[in-house]
Amino acid sequence: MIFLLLRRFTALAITLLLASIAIFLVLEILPGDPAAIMLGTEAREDTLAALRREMGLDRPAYERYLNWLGGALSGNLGLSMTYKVPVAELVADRLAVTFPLAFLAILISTAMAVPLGVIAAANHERPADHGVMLFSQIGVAIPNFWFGLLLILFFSSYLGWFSAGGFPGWDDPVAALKALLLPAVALALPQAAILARVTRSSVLEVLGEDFVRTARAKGLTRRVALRRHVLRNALIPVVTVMGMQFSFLVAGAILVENVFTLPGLGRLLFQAMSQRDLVVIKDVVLLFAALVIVVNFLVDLAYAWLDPRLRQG
Amino acid sequence: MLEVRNLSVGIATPSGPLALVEEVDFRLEAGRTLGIVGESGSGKSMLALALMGLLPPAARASGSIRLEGDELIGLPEAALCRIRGKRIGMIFQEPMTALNPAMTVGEQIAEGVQWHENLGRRAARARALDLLQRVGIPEAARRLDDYPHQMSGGQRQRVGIAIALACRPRLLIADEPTTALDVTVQAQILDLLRELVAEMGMGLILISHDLGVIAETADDTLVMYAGMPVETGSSAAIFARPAHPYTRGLFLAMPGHAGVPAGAGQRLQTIPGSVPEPGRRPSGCRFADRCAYVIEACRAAVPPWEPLPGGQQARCIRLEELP
Repeated sequence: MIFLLLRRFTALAITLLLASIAIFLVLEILPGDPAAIMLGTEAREDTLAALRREMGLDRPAYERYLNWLGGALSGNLGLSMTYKVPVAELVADRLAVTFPLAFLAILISTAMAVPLGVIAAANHERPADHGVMLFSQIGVAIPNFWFGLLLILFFSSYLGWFSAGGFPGWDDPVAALKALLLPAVALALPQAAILARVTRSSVLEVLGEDFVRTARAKGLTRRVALRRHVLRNALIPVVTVMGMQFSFLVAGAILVENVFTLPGLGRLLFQAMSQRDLVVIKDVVLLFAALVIVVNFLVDLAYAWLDPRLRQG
Repeated sequence: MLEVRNLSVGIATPSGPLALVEEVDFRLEAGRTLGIVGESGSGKSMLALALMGLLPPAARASGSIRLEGDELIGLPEAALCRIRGKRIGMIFQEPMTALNPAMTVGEQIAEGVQWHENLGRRAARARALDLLQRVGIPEAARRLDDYPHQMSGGQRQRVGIAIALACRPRLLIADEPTTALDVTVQAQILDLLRELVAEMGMGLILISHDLGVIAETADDTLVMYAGMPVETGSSAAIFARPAHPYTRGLFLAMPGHAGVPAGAGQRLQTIPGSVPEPGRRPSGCRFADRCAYVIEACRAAVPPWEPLPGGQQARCIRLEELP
């Protein structure tokens, strides 16, 4: 187990390193001189050169990469070009919105999808199953930003239960959660639709396994056999898909945060892109990549927890 | 102890009901072993599942299964759950897949005990340890917390036996318990089963396609063909004088047995063709299409049981004319 952890951890570190190189290279190749963008087209050549020196752009790429990496490791992410504040501060504020949003979305999606999938599988080819499949079909087809707009129209404009967007801050946790609820539902629905399907087919597959028959031959009822023997074994594909969905969740957050005008990381990234704030883009993309990689690391650990055959490494 | 009368299993299909198993009759006394033999497709496994009440959803059993006087056919599911595992234990063919990969073997053995006897965790664990020793797993105390993948095929089948025996059932059904194992391990598992039957005095139904396995273990034998029993009697009688052309065919296809010279260079005979699927079975004698002695009358009706000396019976109208 310790060996497995160590190996997975090394893989995690290497993946993160490769991701940082890829991000740096892509932004390096991208045309456009950050100094020129900041000062505008009318800037004088010597002002530009001074700014480049100040930003370290005159130094070789590998040196700038190492500086960036070293800074990132020590928590110093540099100064935002447009906001003139440390990126670390910007990101910390935004994370306090995006992280709970993502967590809430995963929670809602899992809480909907897993029970629905299990119910569908346990009632295979019966009305409950058809109902779940229909819901899933619709859920998969709906884009989350559009669904977000529908939610705003109905729950905010028509019913007036929620505000149409914005974020009050965590001083009032209830209000904060309330502001995150609709966007989280908008993010969760398409994911829940897919996850319910995966859960259904996985449970159906495990239900056909010999060891389920063994459990029934012990005298366990269908329901108890399902709970004790099927669920855990059926969760591996479900966890895999949840891990993969996390990257879609991050991408979805960029859209949904804009629909709901939430001051989150996705919105920050969107703004940084429109303002060509390369420092912020680089850092936020690295952070997203790190999040996705860490989540997949957690998925690997979940495998080992679920299936003892995978513990030996 | 177990009395099966006119047991049939049918399945509903879009084109009407289809018989999978028909007209099975047998009795089994405590402490004895009944061998059920036949090729794949003969309905042996379906018969076993019918006895357990674990048929697939579309299949229905009719007739009578009386276990210690209690009729099992038509019992509600909840009542069957109290009988399965408690009064009937079952051992399955594939030890590699019949155990839950995510649960320790100790938990899997203890589960049935906890379920039926309301035993606490510690007591159930103690019983599991006892059973694991009993089925011959060395260092049982250490292996109790092993997962199935940490064991060999033979050891897993021993665990399967321990699970089936956990509540000391009166009836044990073993469906091809040694088919997936190496020959040497096969012999060990059969020895173990024989020992346990003798020791615990339960009735054993041993299902196999392997006549050698049946010969070693069973007191009585029931030969199944295409969903129907074709010959029954004591194993001694059947192995000495197989009567039905199908049973004879099975023996002729087996090296070193009655009527087959064991010497090298001898060609084994085969039965031409294969077992017909349900729905394609001939209307009279099910074996008619593959039988070397078939006459017109064989196809007219299902042959009645013809008695032979020593309680042996066979479903063939030409027994007396056969060479």
